[in-house]
Amino acid sequence: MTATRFRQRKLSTKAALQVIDDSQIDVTDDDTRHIATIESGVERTEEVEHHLQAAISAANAAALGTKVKAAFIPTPDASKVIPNYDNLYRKVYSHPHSYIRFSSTVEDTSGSLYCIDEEDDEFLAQYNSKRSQGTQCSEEKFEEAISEYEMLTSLKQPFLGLSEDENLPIHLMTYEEMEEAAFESDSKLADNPWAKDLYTWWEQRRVKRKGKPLMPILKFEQGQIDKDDGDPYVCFRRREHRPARKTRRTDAQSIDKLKRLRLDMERVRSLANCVHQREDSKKENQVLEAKVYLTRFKLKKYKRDFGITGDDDDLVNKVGRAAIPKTPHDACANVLQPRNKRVVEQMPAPAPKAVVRHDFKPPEADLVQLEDLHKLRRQNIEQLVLENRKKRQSNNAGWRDQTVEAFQKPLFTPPPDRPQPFRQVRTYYARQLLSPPPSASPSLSPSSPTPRTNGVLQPRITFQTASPTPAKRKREEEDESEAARFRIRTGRNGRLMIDRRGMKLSKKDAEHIDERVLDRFAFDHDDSDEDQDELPAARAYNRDNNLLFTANLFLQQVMPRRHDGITQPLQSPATTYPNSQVNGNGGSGLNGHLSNHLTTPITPSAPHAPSPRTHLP
Amino acid sequence: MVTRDESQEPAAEKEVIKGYATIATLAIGVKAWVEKDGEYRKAEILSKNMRKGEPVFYVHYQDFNKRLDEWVTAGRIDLSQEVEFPVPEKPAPPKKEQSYPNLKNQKKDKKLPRDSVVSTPDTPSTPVASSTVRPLKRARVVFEGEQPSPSSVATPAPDEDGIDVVETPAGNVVAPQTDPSKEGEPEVFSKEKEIEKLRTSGSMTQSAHEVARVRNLSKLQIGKFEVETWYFSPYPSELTECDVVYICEFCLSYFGEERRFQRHRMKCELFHPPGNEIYRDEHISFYEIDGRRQRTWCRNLCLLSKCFLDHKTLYYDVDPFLFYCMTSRDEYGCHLLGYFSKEKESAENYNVACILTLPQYQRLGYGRLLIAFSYELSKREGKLGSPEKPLSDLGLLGYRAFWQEVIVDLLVEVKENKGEISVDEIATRLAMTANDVVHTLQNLNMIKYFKGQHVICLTAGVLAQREALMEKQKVKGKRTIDSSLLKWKPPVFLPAAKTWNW
Repeated sequence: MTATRFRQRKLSTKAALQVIDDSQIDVTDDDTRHIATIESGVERTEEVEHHLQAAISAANAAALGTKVKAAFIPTPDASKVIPNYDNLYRKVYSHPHSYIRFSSTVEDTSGSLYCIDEEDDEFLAQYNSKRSQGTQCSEEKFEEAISEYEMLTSLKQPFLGLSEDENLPIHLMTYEEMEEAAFESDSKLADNPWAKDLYTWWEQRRVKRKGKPLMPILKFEQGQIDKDDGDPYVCFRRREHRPARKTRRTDAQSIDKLKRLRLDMERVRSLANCVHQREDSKKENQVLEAKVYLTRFKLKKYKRDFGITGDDDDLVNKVGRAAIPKTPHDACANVLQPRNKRVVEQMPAPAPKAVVRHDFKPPEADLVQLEDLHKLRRQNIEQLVLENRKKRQSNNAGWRDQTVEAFQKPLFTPPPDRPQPFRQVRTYYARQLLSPPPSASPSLSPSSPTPRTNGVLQPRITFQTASPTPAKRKREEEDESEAARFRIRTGRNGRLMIDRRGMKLSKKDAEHIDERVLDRFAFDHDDSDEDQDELPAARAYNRDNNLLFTANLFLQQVMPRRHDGITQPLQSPATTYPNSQVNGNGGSGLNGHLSNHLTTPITPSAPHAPSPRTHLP
Repeated sequence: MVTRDESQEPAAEKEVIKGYATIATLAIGVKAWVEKDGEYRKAEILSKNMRKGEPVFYVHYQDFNKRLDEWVTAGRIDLSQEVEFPVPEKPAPPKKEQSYPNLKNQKKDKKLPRDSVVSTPDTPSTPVASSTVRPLKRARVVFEGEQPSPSSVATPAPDEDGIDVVETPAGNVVAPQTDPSKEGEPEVFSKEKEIEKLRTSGSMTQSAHEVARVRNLSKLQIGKFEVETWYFSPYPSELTECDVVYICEFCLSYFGEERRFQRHRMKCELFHPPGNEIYRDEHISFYEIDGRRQRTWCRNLCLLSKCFLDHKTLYYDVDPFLFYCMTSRDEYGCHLLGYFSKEKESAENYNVACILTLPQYQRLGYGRLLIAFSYELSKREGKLGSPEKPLSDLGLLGYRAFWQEVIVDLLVEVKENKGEISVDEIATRLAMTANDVVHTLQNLNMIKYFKGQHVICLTAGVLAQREALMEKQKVKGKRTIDSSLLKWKPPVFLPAAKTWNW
């Protein structure tokens, strides 16, 4: 052995170890005391047992190469073979080719759970000896009946026979109670013709066993924890279930689920109620119908008897008198029509014999015809077109459509229905219109309604602008009457003034967005109409932009021209003001002037507010 | 009486009361010399009964496994030698007593026969004379001394002139025949803790504390075999009165009367364990049974296996376990050879909870197959597995043999190829835990320290054992698990199943 020994390192499970055999190793170098002994896993008190120790040392000796006789741990005898195995077990089994998949339980596969014993045999022999061949009770039927009694008792009287005091009287269910229980639990007892006879025998045996089941059963826990724990015969206790992890989310989820469930239930209930009501009124109708019929029958008789003629209308249902139902079908139809039109169509056709109706109409009179539907549709379309036209006209009221009239009407002539409040003032009207739709902004498009040729020298020019993009125009359709409008005027001393109207609405929209709408966006993410709901915001935004755009438009058109002169191509006629001056604080007198002017000409019904002038810088 | 205690605390020399006994004074807890296989062994009397007018004693031989416990007649007890009378244990912590007031009171009555011999209240209020009153420390029932029961009257004392014992009421002596006589055991662990351990770990093993120490059934008829039981099993207590308990080989139902059993056999339609076949080769099939779906069958199986497994508890239900049952096929059906149970979800990565080859099929190599199959499943799961502890003596030997065989096989192969391997790699390739690998290597004395490094040494002895085994297998044919025949995917259970008891 070498003189210097280093402390051995701990055995690492990760390090690769060389595998060698005895010939490659110097045995004297062996020292494995440093490796902590690992417990065998056998309880320490048992580890010392004689036979185990003998076996272990034999195994160790064998591992060291010594020849020893293997030691076995002795066990009690298990080698006896019974002689009657073939009587008990049948040689009928053949293993299928595929792997077996099986889910039936012991209860499914062992027939009646009760098994006859010798006492039963005696009773049954005695019982059957008194009976004729055909009415004898078979062992199967006997077991079936007893199994049912046992099952029902364990179901209805689970604590029977568990009491400590064995002198307590045992109250079993009577046969009548048993029958009732059998009916409740869908048992086969009633089909067994011997069941009643066997009841007394069962009762007698059960009482003899102090209420315990005829076949011994396992002892389960009975809720008396202390007692159960000490009893080695109590087995297969239920395990308390582990509580699921509770989070706020799962809480909320289950609440939501419950709420939804509750809502669904309510809905079902109200549906059922409705159905109930409907059926009730149907029935009422039938009764009334019958009454009417009988009364008429009588009336007819009287009429004949007394020779009354005329007033035969009373005998038939009059058209339009909904109060008197004509036929049962019609009655139903009347009741249901307001609620759901489809129901009418689904109603079964009148019986063949009722081809001639009471009201002498053709049988198909009540049916909806395809032609009618088409007609209705066409009418609707025409009406829509008319309405649209009217709407457009009213929108355009007070305005002249220069796309149509540009070269036909004298420009100097104001529209006939339009008063002219500012005689000596140049006025520009800007308006966002849906029609006629120019393809682009008027300032850029050659098709703009601005009469360029006549422009420069015109003392007064009106023009219309369209909304910047077609998409926006679409939106404007909805509140087209409230579209923002602008007007530029040149006042005294060349001041420029922009009048606007329809701005109130954008303010309203802004309110919308601030409070209600925005709120809704923040939380209602489930809403599938999200895109649509965003519209108000977009619209408002667009409108503001619109306004800005329009304003800029004017600025570009008006302001530069102070310097450029008449070079502007489009609006040049209107914008040459050598000394124009933007003056927001223009004369106060003008205010009244303006509002006067605004109220009169343009769609007086429009809820416009005479907004203060927008002052340009 | 407390073999357990002695072995655990060898340092604390136990005070032993010795003396000569008569048949009448041989009470529960007494250690006497009993003839076993031609020699006298010290044995503890666990129960006492009358059979055909003669007293019989249920004895546990010291240092023998409990499965060799048996009923002996008085003639086998050597009364010419001194016997040891049980010594009261140290007082248990008082808080334990408080936690189970009812239990304690209930147990007090059961204790009486022993009390009558063992212990005496400090102030005997009964008129019966007792020669010596020793200052006794009450072990289990702290305040029993304050209310002495009429039956606890006498004390065996180490008097020079012998023992003065007063007879106890006979009824009391006989009563605890089926009663666990574990009263005599020191309660060094808390019952609450034990049960809590059972609940949280899902363990099927338990302390002997819970188990009745006296075997309650004598013989079982399973299929074509008649088998003696080894340990207590909580079959309905009425069956303990029967000479033979009949067990249907296929559904494992139990019957006390032969007639009933015959009737059942006429009706029973099962021919194999009621589950899915997951493995089949020439000889055997494996079935996977879910404890939750086949409650009755699995309970029956557990009751049966409890007869042969000491450290198994049936305290809780079978729901959280899967049962893998090995069968052999013939024209009668699939005969159950053995099984192992496995937790559906093991917190400690056990791949086996309980494992048993039925006694009639033991020593035929089936245990090895069961173990091999359990590791085959672990390989499929991609986990390292180990059997749940504690192991029984037979379990330890079985596992050690299997571990040795597979590890040595692997090492021989490694030695021929690469020449080196780490413990972790061995573990991974065999689906064993590294701990078990080290345990085996160490046990076989194969880990050596050589030239400043650890090496694994295939010793001559180990190699010789391997040769011998291979020779034997050549003759008898080797039974192995062919993993290509295993049609199995690790079952998956929903979290909800865990919450609701599986």
